Amino acid sequence: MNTTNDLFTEPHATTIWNRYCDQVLHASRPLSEHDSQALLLEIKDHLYSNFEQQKGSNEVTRLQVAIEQMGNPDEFIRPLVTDLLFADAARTLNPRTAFSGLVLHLSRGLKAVIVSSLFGVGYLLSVAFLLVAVLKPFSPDTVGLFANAGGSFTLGILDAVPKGSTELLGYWVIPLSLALAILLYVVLTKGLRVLRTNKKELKSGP
Amino acid sequence: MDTDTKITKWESQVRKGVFDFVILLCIEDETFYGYELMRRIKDIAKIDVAEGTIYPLLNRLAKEGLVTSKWVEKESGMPRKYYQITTQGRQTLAGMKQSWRDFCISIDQLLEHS
Repeated sequence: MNTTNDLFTEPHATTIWNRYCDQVLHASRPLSEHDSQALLLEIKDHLYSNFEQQKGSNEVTRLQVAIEQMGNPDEFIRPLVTDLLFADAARTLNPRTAFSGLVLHLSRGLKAVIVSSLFGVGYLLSVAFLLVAVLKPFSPDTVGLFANAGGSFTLGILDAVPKGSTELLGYWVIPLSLALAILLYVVLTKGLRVLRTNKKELKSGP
Repeated sequence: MDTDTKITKWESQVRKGVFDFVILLCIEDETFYGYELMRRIKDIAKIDVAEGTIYPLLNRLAKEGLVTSKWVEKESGMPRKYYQITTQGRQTLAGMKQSWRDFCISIDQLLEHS
């Protein structure tokens, strides 16, 4: 078998190749040594076949194109690793393998839950700003931005204004809260679109 | 989003949705290694995905008993893993083909009435 040093004449190409192989090994580390090496071999063969097909004399560029077409190992290997771990766990009944598979599987779900929760909190905040703007004319004394006695600030709707607190903005809180509500809503919604695009890219496989 | 972009996205999703079917069709009569299979899929079916994504899918098809694989040593270079369809894979593919034809007929009927 060729060693990496035989594959390329440009040292930087060898560096890029080795870095990508390390990424593959890192992404497949929950697998057994045998499965991990088998996967690496298959991906190396794919990558090098693509590299050979690329036109041009610059090895670095050809390799970079091949790597770009191959995709990020963390993204495309994770479902494969999860599948293999579950299959292995079912075959061997090894709790450690089953646990590793579950953790990997859940990590994607957990990320989604955390991100969704953050967006949820953001939208609630946007609604809260809107409420401040709407309720200020009806309850000018208890709605607004308050400077508290201890040096802290409170923005919102209070049951009763604490002793020593002073309302700072008056009716200026209305445009300010409205602007913040709109800004937050726009930023979050734009962010949501980006997330959806990323999710599609991640799911670019089947 | 303009109409062309929407159609392009929709078309891409439709193609990705039949990725399993396309893989089985490609290896129905020939064995392929990963890169070769991906080229064929891209050329014929115009499915534009990150090439690495084919490996989780091939692994799943193998686990389902629809494809099998074997390593072949090359005279020079790295060993290569070839995929071929199994008997169960052929039976599944036959069913998929029928479903696809039925689906196309249904859509054609809708198109005629639209």
